[in-house]
Amino acid sequence: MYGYHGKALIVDLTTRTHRWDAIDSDALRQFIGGIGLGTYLLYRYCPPGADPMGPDNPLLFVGSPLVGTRLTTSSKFAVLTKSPLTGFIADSLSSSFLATELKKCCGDALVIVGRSEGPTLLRVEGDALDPDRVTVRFEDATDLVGLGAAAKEGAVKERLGDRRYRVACIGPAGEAQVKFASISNDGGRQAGRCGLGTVMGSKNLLALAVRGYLPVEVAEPDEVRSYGRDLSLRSLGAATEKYRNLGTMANVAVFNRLGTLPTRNFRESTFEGAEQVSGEELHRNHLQRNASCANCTIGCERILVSRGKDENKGKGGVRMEYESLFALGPLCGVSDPETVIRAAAICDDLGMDTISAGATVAWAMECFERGLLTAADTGGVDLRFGNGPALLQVLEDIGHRRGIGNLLAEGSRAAAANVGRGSAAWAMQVKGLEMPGYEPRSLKTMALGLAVTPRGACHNRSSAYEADFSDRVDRLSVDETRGRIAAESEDFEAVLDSLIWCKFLRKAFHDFYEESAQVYSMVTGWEMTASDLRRCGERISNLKKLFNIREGWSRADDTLPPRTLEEPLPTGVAAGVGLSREDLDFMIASYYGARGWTGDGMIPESKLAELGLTESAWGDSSLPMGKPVSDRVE
Amino acid sequence: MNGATATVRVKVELFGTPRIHSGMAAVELAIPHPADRGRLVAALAEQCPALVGHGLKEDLTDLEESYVFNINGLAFLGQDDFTLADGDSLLLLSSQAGG
Repeated sequence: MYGYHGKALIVDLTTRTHRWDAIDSDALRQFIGGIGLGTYLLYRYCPPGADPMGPDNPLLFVGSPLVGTRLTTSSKFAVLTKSPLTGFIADSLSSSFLATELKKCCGDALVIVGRSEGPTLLRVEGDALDPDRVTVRFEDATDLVGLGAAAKEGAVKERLGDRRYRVACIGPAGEAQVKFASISNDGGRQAGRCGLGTVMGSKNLLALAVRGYLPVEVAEPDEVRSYGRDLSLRSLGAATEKYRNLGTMANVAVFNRLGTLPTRNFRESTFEGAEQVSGEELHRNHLQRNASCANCTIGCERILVSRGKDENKGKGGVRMEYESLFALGPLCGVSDPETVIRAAAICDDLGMDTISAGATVAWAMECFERGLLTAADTGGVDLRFGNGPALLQVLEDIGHRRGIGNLLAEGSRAAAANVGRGSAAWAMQVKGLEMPGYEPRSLKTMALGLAVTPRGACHNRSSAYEADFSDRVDRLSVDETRGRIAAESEDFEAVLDSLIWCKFLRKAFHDFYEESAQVYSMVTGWEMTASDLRRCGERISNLKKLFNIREGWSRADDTLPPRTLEEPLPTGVAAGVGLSREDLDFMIASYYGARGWTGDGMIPESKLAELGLTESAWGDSSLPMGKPVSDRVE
Repeated sequence: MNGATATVRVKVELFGTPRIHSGMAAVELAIPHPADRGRLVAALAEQCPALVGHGLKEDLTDLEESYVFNINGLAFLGQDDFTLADGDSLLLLSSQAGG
């Protein structure tokens, strides 16, 4: 088999056993890899109604056919589970050397179930002489408790005495089961959203270390190499210039000018301090170096350092990108770049999603200013918008579940339910997932994307904003085309996230579907057409939705926070512009129509049959789906 | 703007790489009437040569393919030609949205 191994390693932390499960080649073709294959496996391995924090909820690390090919940006993997933040599908991507090692060690996926009794390091090592054999060790990790994510990764490598191990770990926030904890790998890269680190923490799994020897073979190596050279050259051209020069930090000044920069918990969409935390200013004053993931020719990462006079001056270096910048800056009313850099470093060290962390603090700041939270609640912290030291203090409190941090560690939706008194109206989340840095009232197509995307408010699973930032639509009004645009953008992202290509490469393709289908065929030896690939995207999008329906989704979940539907924007070029519930419902109806779903957003049997998603097409859905090919117990 | 001999005064706001390379956040231009895409690009290159190759094509016929104009913070301008009015503000942006 080329591009794949046709099997997943299943590890049970409760029984301390492991086995190989076969993955049917039809499933590989239909769901590709990454997020797509992960969704398929999640659907099969996660029992319906599973408690996200319970031992039955599986945590999946999933590779792709392109991992190991050395094609630019292809060293990526997906992590999936049932989200403790949303109760729906959780899927995140991360990248770099761990991706290749996972594929060489664990086949096409690593599925972790059960729960360890105490803090555990899961160590999986292949056998150079017998690549199909793995040794799985469940090592005591008491000595790792409390270490920050980067320190923990370093400590694991130190303990194993072999830096060729690749490590994924959680920080203190994951240990404390903060609901938006992330999983960290390869020196601070994060599978950030939806609380994947929370689930890892719930399993008492502090770190995963892998090293393997499974060969990664492709069907047409010469063709892949030739194509790879061409694609790498294109990746250095105009199509990626923004990412290579300023990275996504460039968005701050632009979004501010366009009236789409969420500010002070989405009360406004322009920020008077935007220039101070703009990509241009950070580039000028705080850039330490550029960096990139393994096998990436783009190099979008900007490593920033403090230039202040305090003890942090010149220390460390933190990856900064737009979402962290907006969430820890304008969203909290903070314009001091030193504070934003420090806040991002704190989140990375604690292992917390910067978007959810910033958005939940912004919600708390608004509660404080409205008198719903007081100094007695915050331990004396003056938690107002713009108070940088307060932001830093509360982030630390969240990561350790101290004081007010224990409330905020539940995320904005749950915290608002606890505080009550109308505060849910300004909890800026969809399905429980805090909103990214795209103002929906002045980006109407993206408003739809944020409302309907299965994992909750997300800019990575829906790229509907691309239409808004173009001459294709009027971004301040709605029309019947938005449903089709949003659906197509989700399907596109589903394919991108399943192959897995970096999103920043997307404009470097002459014809994305045509080229990607050709590459897939070169790698796997299996025929794939552009049309097939489009259908894969649609299938994956529908399966995500199907998972959510199984877990209790209803039409009411596809919406936006009340603030966005009731308050017009007060400032900037979009001042006076709002988004009515009627307009949002109109767009949602157009989206369901474009998807071929019912009026209440359910997937009809005919659509499931068309996409091969019926139980009869899958066979028995009971677990495990495949036959064990090995059953060694270490 | 008065009559055929008048010029149109516009402002071009620079973001990202163009701002870094030019060292300027904005440029004021006086463009001969009719102030269309070609004349705008030519005037911009003359006023701010650092943008050539960093937003403007070397042959000064248009923007580089990874850039786009937005007018007054509202509409994005596609490949069609346009005519500017006195007081318009053009935003020179990367066409690579999102992140």
